[in-house]
Amino acid sequence: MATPMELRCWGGDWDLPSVHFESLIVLAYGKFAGAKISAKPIDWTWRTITATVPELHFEGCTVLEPMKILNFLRKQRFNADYELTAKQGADTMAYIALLEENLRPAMLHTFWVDAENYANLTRPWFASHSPFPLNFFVPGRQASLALSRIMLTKAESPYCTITEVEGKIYSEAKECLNLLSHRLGTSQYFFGNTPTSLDAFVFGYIAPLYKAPLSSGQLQQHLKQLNNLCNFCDVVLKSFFTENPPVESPPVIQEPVDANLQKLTQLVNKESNLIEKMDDNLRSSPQHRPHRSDHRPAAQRSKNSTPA
Amino acid sequence: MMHRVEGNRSLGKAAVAPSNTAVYEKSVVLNSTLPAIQSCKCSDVAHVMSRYMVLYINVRVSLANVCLRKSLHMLSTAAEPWPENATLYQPLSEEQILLSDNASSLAVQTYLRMCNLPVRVSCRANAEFMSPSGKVPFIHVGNQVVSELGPIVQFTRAKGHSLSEGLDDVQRAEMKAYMELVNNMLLTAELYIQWCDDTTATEVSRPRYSSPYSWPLNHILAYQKQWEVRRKMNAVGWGGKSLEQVYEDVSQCCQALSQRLGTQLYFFNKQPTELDALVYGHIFTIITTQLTNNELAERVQNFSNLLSFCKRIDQTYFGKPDESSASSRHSKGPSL
Repeated sequence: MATPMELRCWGGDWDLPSVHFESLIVLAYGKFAGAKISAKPIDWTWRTITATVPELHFEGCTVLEPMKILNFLRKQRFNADYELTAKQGADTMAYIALLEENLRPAMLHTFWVDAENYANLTRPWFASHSPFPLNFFVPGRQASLALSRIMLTKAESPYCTITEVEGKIYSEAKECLNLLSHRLGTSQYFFGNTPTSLDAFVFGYIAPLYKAPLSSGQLQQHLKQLNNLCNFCDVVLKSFFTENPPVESPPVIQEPVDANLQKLTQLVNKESNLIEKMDDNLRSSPQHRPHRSDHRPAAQRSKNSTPA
Repeated sequence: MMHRVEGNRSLGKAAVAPSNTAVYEKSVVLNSTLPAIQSCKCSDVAHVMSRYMVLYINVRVSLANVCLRKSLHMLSTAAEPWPENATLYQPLSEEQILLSDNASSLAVQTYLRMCNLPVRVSCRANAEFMSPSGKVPFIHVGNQVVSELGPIVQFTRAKGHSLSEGLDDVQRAEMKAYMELVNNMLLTAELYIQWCDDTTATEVSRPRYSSPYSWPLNHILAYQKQWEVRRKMNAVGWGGKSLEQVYEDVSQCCQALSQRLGTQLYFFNKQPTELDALVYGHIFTIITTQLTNNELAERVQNFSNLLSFCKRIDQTYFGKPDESSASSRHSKGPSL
């Protein structure tokens, strides 16, 4: 273990070590298993477009995708699931499938497809963390990937529109959160007192949802009503990501060099955002837009009060 | 018929709908005043209603639609018991149906048998295009059309037939998780092998899929389907997988199911649930279907408790020859 493992991932914000949920899964698992993974944020480099995050580099090998990285870490004897029984291992697989099928589409939608969140949070964030010419390109590319994934996996017939799919994926996601909350119950982690790979996955999926300052977050509001899941997030963040700040510091260390560039990009982004928003407002029909913002929360509250 | 399917299109999609009492009550009042015969018109009127509601209550169109679906759903269930002439539609069982569709169809049939709900199996060459969601199988009950296992389970629950009533919250979460595991791994693997493995696609899937159609439609439809499935595989990250990796995934999935089942009769001990129906549908179809090679079946056959589980369900629920569905059930291959 002379050379530490390097993980290329998106940098952190919103009190999280990474804003990207798949990177977060790997970082959390690394902490749980005691592997020394040094996070190398790809922010402000050309890797924002070339790299597939998360990407683990170790002694010349490159491993992609969270599932494969976790398997790779297990082979390197960093196994957080060592104490699980075979049945618990099976449960882990099943719950991960549940997250992938039911929570992931809604997560992608919340961050990348929902117009308000995309314009106010996701797009500015990712644009301001990409180097100059790429900032116009990176967020849009991610968003179209997310949209096509949702449409291909969840749209039942190829002629569905995204609004038809929305209702379905959000109700599935809310049910999934309820089920997770039931499963967690009052225990600290999913399998007793030590965190395992399932905890890493759940943390990776729900922590961004819990921490991100979303402007339209029906899923976030639902999550915040499930106290045990929120507690779970806080506990993981507190016990694994606070006293030991290396994962959080790299973006701060890199910052001085690019500070001016970053400021500039942010400025440019804000402006282009503004333009996009105005454009949006002009295009959308005049009755729906203003009503939506003040009535939707009310509708959500009534919806959330009776979790399915 | 066209019209009716259109009107019921929404039902197939109805998931756990959010409750909005205002919308619900309105549509119930509306629906209960109309005689049952007009039910296809009813959904039209209801649709217009929903448009007005958007203006007056300022609920988003999608939300209103979902609520409407639910209310239609609830109304029908309260009013009608399970009819005698319920029909399940699937592609032609001898020459057309593919492994994945056969598995899903068998899962639904098993589920309905477990619930003691009689259903007549009808094979149609264009079943896929008749289905409201474009997926088979679908059931036609009374004047409603519901497709796929998940919505069908919800539909029967609303009619008062449920297999998972006795489970507690944690068990229900577990059941849902394992069902998603089967969908995520086994179903995706079946689709991958059918359409992304070139040998299987050329020798089995494309000829079978297009068998009812004449040239050139057969080629067009088969390639269109293949292209659609491949796009989906790329989207879920399976596009780059090799066949060997897919078999490995199937093994892992079966391993997990086998571990979970252990020595129990069913996944939740003595009572069968929809999970049992789903697992049986897929495992039984995989081991009794002849593809270009036997690799897939062999991988599954390594798990003896899953095999005996299948045998048990087969005997319990399909033991007595049933005049309508027994003949159309297993299309090919030896039975257990």
